[in-house]
Amino acid sequence: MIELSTLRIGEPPLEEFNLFKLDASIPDEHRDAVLRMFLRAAMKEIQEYADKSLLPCELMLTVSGREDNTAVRLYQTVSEILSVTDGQGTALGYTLSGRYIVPDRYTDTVRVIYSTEPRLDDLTALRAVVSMYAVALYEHESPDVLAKIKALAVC
Amino acid sequence: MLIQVHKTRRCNSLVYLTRQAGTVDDFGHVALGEPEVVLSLYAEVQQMSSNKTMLTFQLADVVGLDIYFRKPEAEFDGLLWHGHTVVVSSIQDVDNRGRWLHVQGYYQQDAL
Repeated sequence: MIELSTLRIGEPPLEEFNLFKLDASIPDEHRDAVLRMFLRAAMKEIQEYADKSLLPCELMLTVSGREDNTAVRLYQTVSEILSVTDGQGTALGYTLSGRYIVPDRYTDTVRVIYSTEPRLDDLTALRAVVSMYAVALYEHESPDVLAKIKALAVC
Repeated sequence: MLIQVHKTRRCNSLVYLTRQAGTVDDFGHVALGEPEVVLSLYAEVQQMSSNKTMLTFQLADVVGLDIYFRKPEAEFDGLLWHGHTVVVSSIQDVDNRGRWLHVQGYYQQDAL
């Protein structure tokens, strides 16, 4: 079983926030706190769907019930591996090649904690979808509308 | 003509929201002051067709406007659009969540 959880999530950049406000035609500042909430949710959702980081995060990937020592695939844009442990928290040695990490020895469970960093290319490519998604969230659109917008992230 | 997709709003018209504060003179007479611009924003503005309007409106040289914009915090009682002083006749919170306002107003053609 593979489980990905977010330990820490960064704040949306100011530029992103201003673009979203402009796109949503929001004229003043009185709803900024709510808008930040929607933008952060949108960026998190889109980065998970597109598998490309948009916010700097710290993620924990737990792979359990492994049968052999195959490579573990890391999600989103990996920046730094912080720790690789087995189920009991014992540190494991590893080799990293691209997005795949291979522990030195076989264990039933592997837990990788790593940080992600957005790339400018991904931010540029997904900026429009993020804004659309955030506006749709703000408008309380139905799940099927949200799913249609999300699908644009992998086009 | 551009296609209008269901429920989309094209906020591409610059609108100035105005407010007239009340003043009291030395004799205790209350009057409205000059309208002051409180906020400028982009709104969707639809103008009433001049040949489909009611005869009363045609005779009065009044042009109706349907204006949609995001609800701002600022209080307003009138607005300026393309140099016209628009009288706000009704304001509706369209979605009951304070997201969109629907303002119905009119301006006097003579004011041009």
